[in-house]
Amino acid sequence: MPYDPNEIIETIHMTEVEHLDIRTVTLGVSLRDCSHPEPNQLCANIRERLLSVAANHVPTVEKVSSEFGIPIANKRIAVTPISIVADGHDIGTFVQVCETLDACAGELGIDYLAGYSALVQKGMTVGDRNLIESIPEALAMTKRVCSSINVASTKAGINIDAIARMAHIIKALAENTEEAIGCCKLVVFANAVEDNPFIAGAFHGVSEPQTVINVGISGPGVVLQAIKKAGQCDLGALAEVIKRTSFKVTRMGEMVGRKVSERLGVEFGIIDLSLAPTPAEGDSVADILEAIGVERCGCHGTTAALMMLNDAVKKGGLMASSYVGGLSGAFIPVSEDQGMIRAVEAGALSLDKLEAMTAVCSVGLDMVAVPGDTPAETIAGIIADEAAIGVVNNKTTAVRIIPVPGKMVGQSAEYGGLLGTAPIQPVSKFSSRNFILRGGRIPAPSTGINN
Amino acid sequence: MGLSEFEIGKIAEIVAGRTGSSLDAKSLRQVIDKVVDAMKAGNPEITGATCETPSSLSRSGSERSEKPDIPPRVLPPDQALVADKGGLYEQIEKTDGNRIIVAAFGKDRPGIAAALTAVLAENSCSVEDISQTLMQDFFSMIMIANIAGCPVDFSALRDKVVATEAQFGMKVYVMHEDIFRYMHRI
Repeated sequence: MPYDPNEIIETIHMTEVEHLDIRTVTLGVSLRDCSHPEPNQLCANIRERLLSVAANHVPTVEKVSSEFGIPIANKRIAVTPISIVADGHDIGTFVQVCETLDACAGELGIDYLAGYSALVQKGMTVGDRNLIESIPEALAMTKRVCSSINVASTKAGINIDAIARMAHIIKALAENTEEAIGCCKLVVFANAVEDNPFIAGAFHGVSEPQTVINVGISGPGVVLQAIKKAGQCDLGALAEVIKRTSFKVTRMGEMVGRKVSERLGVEFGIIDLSLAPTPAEGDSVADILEAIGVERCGCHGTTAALMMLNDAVKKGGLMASSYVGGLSGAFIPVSEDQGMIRAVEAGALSLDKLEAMTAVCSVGLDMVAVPGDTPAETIAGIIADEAAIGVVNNKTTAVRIIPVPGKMVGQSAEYGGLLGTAPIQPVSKFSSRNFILRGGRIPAPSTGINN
Repeated sequence: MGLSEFEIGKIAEIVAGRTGSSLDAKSLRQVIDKVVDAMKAGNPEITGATCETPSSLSRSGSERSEKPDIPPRVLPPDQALVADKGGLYEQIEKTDGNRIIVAAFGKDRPGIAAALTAVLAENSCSVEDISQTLMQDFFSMIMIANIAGCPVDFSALRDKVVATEAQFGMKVYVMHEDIFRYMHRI
């Protein structure tokens, strides 16, 4: 027999009992050649492209999922940053494009489409500025479109002017949508990557091909079970257990990605090795950290445990896939992770600790809710801090922050579904105002000058 | 249809020449179908008289009578078969897993193995390997079956096999071999 019966039983256990799944199969679509000076024609071009290229995406992914018995949680689409596609148009046209994207996603059976984005780390074009100004209206009028704005990079430094503007945009979007749910669809990045398959921060970068399939793996549940099964062993042995598990999960992602890309006739891009939690019980990164040994996620030792987890996941995954890319690191969104919510409610996990944790894992302050009366300059300060961590460490960081109007610390915002429940977290009562109002761009750090 | 060893060797040789090293299962299938069709039509390249070069096979009918630019590479039938097994078959294995793994767990009752193999046989699947263990009265069985000849698609076959669960009060899992190959082999 070419397989050991134990291998077969282990695989069945992972898929049937531990709910191994693939978090997302994302189709990247270039819209660069859809540009047109006439707004209606621009929207018609985008619509025609999406409906023709992505028509078979959902059915194909579902067929692969059912054939191989591997659940694939999300089927999504990422497009070229819209600030490039619709550059030169006014704010009203940007809103119209956003509505077109939303309608196309609906018709294709896709819950989220991302790429309503602009890359402004060094400055803004007319299109970048109009896209950013359109966000409070565009994201409030649509359900499925996600937006990301890159405000800093290791090569360009930190655009404080853009950060200050984004803080006001976030506040305005929060006011425009119920419970500020619009803010769940808006990410502010430093060092954004072009092939990230995960929503809300995905976009189809300018160096990507016409179409591409990128896969985001999941697997917190499987890793948690493996750690529990490992019992009392030292951290070196535990890292080995995580590595092995990550290898297997990534291989599933590789298989699914290759099958889908083969059937769609679309190039296979990358596997994103991110542990992505969901609000489902047991599908939690915080639970993993607690299984490693910290009493509550956020207590001293959490950053070290997360660093080990993140690194072991990468090491296992790197061996398992020919092309690793995207964000590739554990996600620590608060509202989407039951263990994180528990930790915040228990007073174990503060924004400051989350910020420290973002230095050793992927993304950043993700799905954190703050009081609605938080000043825009404070939000800008939070974004600038995160950007600094990303820029100086040459890694991606991001902020997806939700200032919930009318809510105070101790309350929470309920979103349901994949977005979960966000407990309102306190921010510093001291002001960042004078720092942010200086404006300008923080120069690129010496780590970025590496040629 | 019945093929002589010589004919099989000839098909393999032509197919190998046409496909080269870059090969996926679907295009292989198309090439084989074309060659078999040509053979059915009594094309002399297969039936023995002459051998056409692989490259000229793709040309339209009117061009076929032209003299090929490259001299034909003719292997004796036995060598063609050996070359085939080493190269093509291995590539098919790599690119197109057409085997499934059936695992059944439950209390031992007479007829479990017979019922599962009967479903597979009805759907033209051949069982390639079986491993069984019996611990006291708890039974577990793992089978590897080839579904290359199966007339229904994988999902339908899986439903049929899993339907035997109720009859014996056991748990049956059917998974595509590719899952195991990806997860446990590099």
